[in-house]
Amino acid sequence: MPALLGALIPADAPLGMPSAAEIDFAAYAAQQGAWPEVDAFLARLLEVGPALEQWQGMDEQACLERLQAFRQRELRLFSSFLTQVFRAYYSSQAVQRLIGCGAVPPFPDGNVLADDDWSVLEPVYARGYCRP
Amino acid sequence: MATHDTVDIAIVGAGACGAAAAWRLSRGGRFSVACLEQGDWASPAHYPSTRPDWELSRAGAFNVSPNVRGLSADYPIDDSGSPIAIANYNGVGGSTVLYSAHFPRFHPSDFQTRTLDGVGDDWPLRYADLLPYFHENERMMGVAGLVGDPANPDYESLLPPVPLGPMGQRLAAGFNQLGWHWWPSPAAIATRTHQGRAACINLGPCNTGCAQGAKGSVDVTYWPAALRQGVRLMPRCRVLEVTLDKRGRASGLRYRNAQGQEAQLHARVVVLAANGIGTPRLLLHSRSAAFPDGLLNTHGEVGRRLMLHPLGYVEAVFDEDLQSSLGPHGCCLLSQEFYESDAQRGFVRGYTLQALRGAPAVETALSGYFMRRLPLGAGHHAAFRRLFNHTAGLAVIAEDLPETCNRIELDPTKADSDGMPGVKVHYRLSDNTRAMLKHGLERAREVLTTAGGKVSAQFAPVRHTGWHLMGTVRMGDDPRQSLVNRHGQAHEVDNLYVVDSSLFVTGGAVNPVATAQALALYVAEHIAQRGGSS
Repeated sequence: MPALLGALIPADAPLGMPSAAEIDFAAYAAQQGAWPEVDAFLARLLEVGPALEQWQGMDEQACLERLQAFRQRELRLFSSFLTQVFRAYYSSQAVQRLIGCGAVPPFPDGNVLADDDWSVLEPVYARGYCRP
Repeated sequence: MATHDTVDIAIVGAGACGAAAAWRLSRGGRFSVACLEQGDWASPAHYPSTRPDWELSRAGAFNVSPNVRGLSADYPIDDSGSPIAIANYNGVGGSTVLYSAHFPRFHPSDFQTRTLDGVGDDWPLRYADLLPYFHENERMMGVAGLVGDPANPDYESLLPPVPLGPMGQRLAAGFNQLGWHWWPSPAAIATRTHQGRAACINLGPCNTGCAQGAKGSVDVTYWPAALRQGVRLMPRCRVLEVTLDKRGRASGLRYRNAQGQEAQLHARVVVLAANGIGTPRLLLHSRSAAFPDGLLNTHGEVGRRLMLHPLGYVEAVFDEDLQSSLGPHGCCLLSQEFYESDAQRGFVRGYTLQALRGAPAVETALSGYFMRRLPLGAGHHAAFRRLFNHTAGLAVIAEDLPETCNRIELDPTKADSDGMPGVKVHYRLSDNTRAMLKHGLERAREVLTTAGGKVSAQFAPVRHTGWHLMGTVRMGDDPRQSLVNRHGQAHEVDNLYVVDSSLFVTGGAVNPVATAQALALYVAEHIAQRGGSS
């Protein structure tokens, strides 16, 4: 599983982003009841693709290419699995803190949006509005 | 029957309009008032917005669809016969618990569409009749905005506006460049501490419940005041029938209480506030010898002329970071450039453009991938950063006209947890609505493009947006063409009133709650002045 996750969403050191293999996907799947979908994907993947031990030894690029090939063959299963990966990754508190989500629950301090310059409304005043 | 009880006024539904009516009718302590609500109090501690995974958890108990939630408070709504799925929330606060708090008023023209445009019907009252109630309601709800809107000049005072933010500023520049109207949205959001409510802190997901209490849902606005005035709020009590006495007047409510026992509440006056679907559902289920096809349904008019505000949506991606996921999602700015009729456009009446802030993270990732803008593998994060906080949306809120074929009926094939039939919705888009949506999508594209964005998605009607439930028990002076009079009083049962948006004769082109609550206060004032009797 870590190899698959890391291939789909790899780490990006310059941007300071972790790979999907670094989040607790198992906990997510258990909490969200996603294991049946994930298991169905894995079972079919191993059925048509390389054996488990081969996946484990693959580099990210090779792994991604294999997954893309699987996608062509089993679009629905792949999409279902990928949806779970995205949901797990982008609802992770650690990831949210890195991508500009602002305050992250629980009990946030909130977000500050800069004061607006209301002179931007001058043209609207000037034009007026015709009500019947 | 488990219990027998008597009050002066019994209200059905503790949502936006039931709460407003309960507050007004309990003021001064002249009447004993009870309000029965099929749902319970929502717990702010459990709102999805309190969790980092709120995008996921909102798919459960706080889903906008009653069919998905499937809670004991919900009733099934078969909307397979409609391009728009019904959204609601059943509990104390009603759909205001999950609404975005966008709070504009109807325009004066909305009350005279027959006179002005030859379509729909004129209301039996005018905007000016509701004006004092708009003011009173906005004070109670705590509405933010800016006084001085040329399109809506009658506001007296408002809380400071919700921040436009960089996204709103960018869109405003686009509107200005085109010479089109826009204005900061009226929003039922406390932008500073208001009547004990904390100020908004710009978290964003208002429509998953506001644990901060800044959003003006009626569980934190009207209900605390109404309870202090002595209203007896009865949650988890589902009303099954409006009962009649031998003279054909309303005698009260038959309901199932929180313990599952059937009971009767006697009342001198019955007030219905269960929304544009729940109210006709209850009327249709209240059958008697006098009304064998449902209460007030003598001419088969109950449940007809349903209006839903078909919604279009256009989204664009901008080069710069607009911080667009920050701030109240549905409240930023609106444009009413195309609100009033213009013969040149090929349709009558019009629409509002409502700015919607950017999508949250999971939604950005999923839509980005499936629209082939977000790759897998190397380059994923850089591409994500070009999307997240870089998007802005415009919703087209289109006025749909009242048509008899758009209706609800009881659905005997599905029932709620108390065995009461669910609802089947029949709704279609008219040619006028289709032309209006097409025009709205084109104008939304134009402003987003002018503002510097690249349009990335557009669709209409958006399916899961059927929040605005209007017009199914309409008011009017002619008993042959309406079910209640200008005071919300049933033509055929003079101590039965309706106070919710099912009264609407036409639907306007803005979120209806400000107008619906003003109407509820107006009707409640009439009931109070008549001494709580017919």
